[in-house]
Amino acid sequence: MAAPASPQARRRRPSRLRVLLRDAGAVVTLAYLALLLFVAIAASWLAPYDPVRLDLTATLAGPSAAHWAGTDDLGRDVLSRLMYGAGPSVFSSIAAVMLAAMIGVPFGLMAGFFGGWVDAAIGRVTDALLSFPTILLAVGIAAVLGTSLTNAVIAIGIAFSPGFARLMRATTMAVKQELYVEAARAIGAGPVWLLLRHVLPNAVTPVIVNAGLLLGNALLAEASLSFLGLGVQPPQASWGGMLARALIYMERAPELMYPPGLALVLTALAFNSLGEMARRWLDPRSLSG
Amino acid sequence: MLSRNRWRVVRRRILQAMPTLAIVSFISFIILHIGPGDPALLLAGEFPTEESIAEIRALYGFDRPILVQYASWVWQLLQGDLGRSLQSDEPVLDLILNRLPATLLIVCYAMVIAFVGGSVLGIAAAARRGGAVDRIATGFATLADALPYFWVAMLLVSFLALDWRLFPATGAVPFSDDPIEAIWAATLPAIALSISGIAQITRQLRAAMIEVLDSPFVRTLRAKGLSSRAILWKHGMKNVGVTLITVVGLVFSGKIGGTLLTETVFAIPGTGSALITAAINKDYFVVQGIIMMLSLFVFAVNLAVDLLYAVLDPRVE
Repeated sequence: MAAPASPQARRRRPSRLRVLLRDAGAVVTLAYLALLLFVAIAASWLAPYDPVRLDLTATLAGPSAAHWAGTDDLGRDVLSRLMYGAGPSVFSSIAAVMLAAMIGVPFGLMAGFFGGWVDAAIGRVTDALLSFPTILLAVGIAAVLGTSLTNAVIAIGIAFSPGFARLMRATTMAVKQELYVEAARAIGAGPVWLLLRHVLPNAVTPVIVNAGLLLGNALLAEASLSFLGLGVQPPQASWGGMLARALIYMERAPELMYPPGLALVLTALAFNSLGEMARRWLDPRSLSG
Repeated sequence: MLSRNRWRVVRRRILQAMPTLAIVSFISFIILHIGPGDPALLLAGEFPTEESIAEIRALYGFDRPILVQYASWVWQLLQGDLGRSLQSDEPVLDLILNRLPATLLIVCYAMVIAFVGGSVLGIAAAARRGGAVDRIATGFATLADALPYFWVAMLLVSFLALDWRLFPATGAVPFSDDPIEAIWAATLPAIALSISGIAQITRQLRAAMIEVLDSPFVRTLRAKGLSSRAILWKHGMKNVGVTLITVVGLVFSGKIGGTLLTETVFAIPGTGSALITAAINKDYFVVQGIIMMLSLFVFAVNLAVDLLYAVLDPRVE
């Protein structure tokens, strides 16, 4: 992951935002994400058709003036479904990562702060979950909760939480060793004060960076679950679900797999690049070194 | 031979793996059983009555306290009994054993591809840092992170199987029937499954190799007049071995997860596709059995990695 700091970043203290905007990749990423967000929010105004409206007279039709991206097996407009699918994909990956942080951070905080058996117990469970394949865990949880987008988000959130716990534990332990924390303790600061005043502020940056780097994974995990039939349920549009339909009709209409597939890859690339940008921007070490 | 200290490390690692496995089985059992959705309701058919549901609960023992259910499940597990499928009434163990070979074939095949491809790319990239190969390898690794397994699989099927007819599009051939046909049929799934592994190994190996090549001892070797090639192969390889072993454990875990998707796309009758069907139908014992079995493999590989690590790395004492 450790990309070498760009030459611009190594020069003496240019404004961080300027550094970011000078990077063409960063600008493209931000522009794409802005567009995506706009489409996701405004899909109902932008989409040319109702995404669930069937037209059995025009099924599996290729791109045309009426349907720019063609129609699927039930004659639904692919472009409209793609636009409507953006919302679930984007917002559910953000929600899943936030949920993961909300579960993982408190546990990591407790483990790092209290140490002893609390740390040992949380550490054991974290290790067990971390060595577990994420998608396997998510499928297991989705199986329990039932098939819906909300449950897929919960499953992904739980599956990603151990990473936050481990990160938070390391941060907390490092801060606890600091001299100023020692001093605060010596003048009688209680654990709540120490956590709120010293540990949490120091943890914000690594948690945000980790969240940024996980967004792309969450997107692909959600798409995987929807593809497998464990996430967004038809007829509601989702990129993973569109690919599941495309798989069935692959021989007759191979072009169906391109719009949702490309949307997924581009969005995952943009999310990963956003995470990388967050890391470079927020992590002071990567700017100076 | 291994010193006594080494043996102690090895023994400790094995003992540490046991509670982890117990925790996984316990957590997965608990969440499967306290989660919403009642298997008895599922089994009771279309028009369930209070009595028929209670009867089924009693029959399967769902009415007992959860810890008692877990204990009896573990007890049966130790005797090789994983329960029966709620859907087909097939013993779960038979179902797994029938389907495991197909899964293992594509996972192992994908591991081989990822290992070879990743090693070659990673070392070539590190050997000429900033060169054309390095840029291609780094770019590929970035792209591969954003590629969904199942989409890669669909692209491969579309081009190599449907358009050019080089490979079969779906299904698997049992290895015991015809090993060559089996490997042939498993090639596309294995490639699709290996992509992210190639990227992971490339990235880790490149970073590790660069670290070695930048270290002071290599500078000394260069000053002594050793050729770049000799440094790379003799000293570089020796020092990245540990990284390579560590990343293999990580990649294996990813392949086990990815096989759920790959098997679905290629309609391979393996454990992954069975898990998906069972998960959608809430076939609890099958879900539990397959998750346990697959995590057992992940743990076994991680344990093997840890042990190799303890044996190879002189710093582990």
